[in-house]
Amino acid sequence: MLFELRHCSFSYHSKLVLDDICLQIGTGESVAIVGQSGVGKSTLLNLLASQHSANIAYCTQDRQLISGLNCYNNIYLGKLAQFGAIKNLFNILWPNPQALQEVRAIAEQLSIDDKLQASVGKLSGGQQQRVAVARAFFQQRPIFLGDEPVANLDSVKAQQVLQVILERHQSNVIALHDRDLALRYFDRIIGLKQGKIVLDAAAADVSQQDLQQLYL
Amino acid sequence: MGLFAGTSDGLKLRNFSLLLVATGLLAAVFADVQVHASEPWGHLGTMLQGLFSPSVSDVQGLGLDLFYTLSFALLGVSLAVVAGLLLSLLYRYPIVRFICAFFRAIHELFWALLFMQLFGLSASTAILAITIPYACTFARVYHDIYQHAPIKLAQLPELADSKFSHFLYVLLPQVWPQMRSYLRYRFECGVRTSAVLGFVGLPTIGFHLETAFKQGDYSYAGALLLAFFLLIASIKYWLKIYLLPLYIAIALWFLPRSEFTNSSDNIWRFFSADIWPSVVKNVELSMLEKLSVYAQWLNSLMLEQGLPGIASTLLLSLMALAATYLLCIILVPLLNCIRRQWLMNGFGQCLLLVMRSTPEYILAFVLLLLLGPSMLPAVIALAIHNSGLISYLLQRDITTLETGTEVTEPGSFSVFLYKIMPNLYSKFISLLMYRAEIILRESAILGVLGVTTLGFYIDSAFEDFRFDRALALLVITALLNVLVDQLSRKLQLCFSDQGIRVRSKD
Repeated sequence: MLFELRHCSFSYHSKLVLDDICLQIGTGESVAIVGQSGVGKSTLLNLLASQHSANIAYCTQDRQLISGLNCYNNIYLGKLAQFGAIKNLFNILWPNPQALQEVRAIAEQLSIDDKLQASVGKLSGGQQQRVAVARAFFQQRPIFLGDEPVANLDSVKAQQVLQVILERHQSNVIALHDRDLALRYFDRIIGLKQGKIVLDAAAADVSQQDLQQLYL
Repeated sequence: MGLFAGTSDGLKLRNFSLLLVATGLLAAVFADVQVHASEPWGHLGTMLQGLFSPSVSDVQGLGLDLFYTLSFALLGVSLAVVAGLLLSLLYRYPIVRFICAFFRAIHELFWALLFMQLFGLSASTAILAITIPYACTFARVYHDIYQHAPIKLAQLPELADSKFSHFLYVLLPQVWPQMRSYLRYRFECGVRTSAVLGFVGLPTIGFHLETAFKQGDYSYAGALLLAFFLLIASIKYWLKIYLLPLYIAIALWFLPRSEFTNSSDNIWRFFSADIWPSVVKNVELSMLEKLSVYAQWLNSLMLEQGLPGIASTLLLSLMALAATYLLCIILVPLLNCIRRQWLMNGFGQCLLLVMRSTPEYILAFVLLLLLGPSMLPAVIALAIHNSGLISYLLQRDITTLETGTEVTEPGSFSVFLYKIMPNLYSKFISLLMYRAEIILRESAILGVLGVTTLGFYIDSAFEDFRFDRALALLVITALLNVLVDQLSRKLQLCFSDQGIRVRSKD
């Protein structure tokens, strides 16, 4: 089993965010987590992330982009700990050819290859979001955790990016607010309401109306 | 804090302000604040007449003075920023923190007096005197800046292993703009310090300024001051980070060559023998006896010079703090009221620029010539410089406050009283507390001019070649400063918290 939570609860500032969660996710699964905002999706992802941190590429909602760096270095940041200090120092002065090649290939997939030299502070919200996804790709980990990784993209771009995410990773757990995307691209849907799992089923068995219930 | 007990934040601030003024007035009762000069107004008239008709006979000399003033500042600050950057990364260790606080507490002029014994009146003395305290200041400020970076290491756990890379990729890019602007500000301070170093004999603008004032050549002094102000005001136009290597190369190439040489033996003797009291060097005594003799020596030094010096330094600081407060509460509303009249406003801004750009030391020196030897010139000098700086910072805040909150009548006194003052008062007190440490540091150094603060005793000890005394008094001064710094930081936090709470209630 890839992830396993047993009767897990979580409070933040004495407010119960997750309430008695039991959950198992196997290798190779693509799981969408849906539910209203503030229902505990990010907290659940954080809990999962702490279980396999070395094998996970985690794309958080706040993106964690460094405003003073250009796109290339923001993506490069994903592997900072793997390269030595000297290599990192030289890379900031002159991009490492091998890393640049890898980053460029990823950026092409996400249609941001023309922005590599631009400072991230000058990019649009959607472009910044793709830089954050690119950073996660650059880590080349088998598991992808994403907290609304395509929320700021138009529907065509969102579908393209989501497809690439799912193709590149063996297992995926992604929090989404777009119900259509969840039903169309994922194997399994987990629905949260008031900190509890109220829906956990194969995507094929879930209807739009079932999902509607989560937002009432 | 019980001392400022009150039922609301506003009351606490009021009580604290009253206490500040009351202690300042009380200090004035015990201190000598008389005017000892026979005709200060007449003298002032002559001086102003000269200052406003500047003339230079030796343009080349003036150019060279300015060049050396800039060169020392440039090299001193550049070395300091490199050392400070390294120290800032180690600043979390208490020992580094203490060493920095201690070295920072010793004024640049004291460092100059100390290094002069080793390297004479040379460029090394000037540069090191700037580098050491500035490096420690950079360390503290840069460390504080890192704390406020929006994204921290904890949020990027995959980077936890690599501290250096984290600094390079996560911290530095986020805080670079603040670090760069602080470097600019420090460079401006460096130029002021470099000018003041002339007063102890180093070949900067202060050297000729002192001579000109003492000889009554006020036209030349006026020219020197004018050149100095223009230099400070022009910094932002030519100080570009990418041009720094070129500037450093030029400064290094044309540094004054000193005739003074000192053998390594002499330097070693200074550290191993000169700075220790002769009683301790008596080889026949055991370690324990040496310690007891040293304690006795220290005790008598404390009674004769240390305690009177500390008392005067504190008295002067308290008076200067109260005077700064009073001058600020007159200046800030006044400048706010004249903001709409462009001519008056221009005059006000020039006045603020002159007030905050003129080093306290130069102001005190000039006022001492005018008013005669007492604490009064020092109090006025400290109040002028510090209130100029605080008023300037508050004015910037007033502008942001007004653009944020749609003030219907900018510049009106009622709006100032009811809208601006309640929002800015806690910030004002917090700024004042931040300056308290600097005021104390300056109070000590003004002793070199003859006011009997700690600097007076230190300067006399150096003059008499009593390096043992000089060093012991320097340590006492530094410790006093560290203590006051701690206290003023606590008060600063106390009032800036209140500021946040008061604002959040709005």
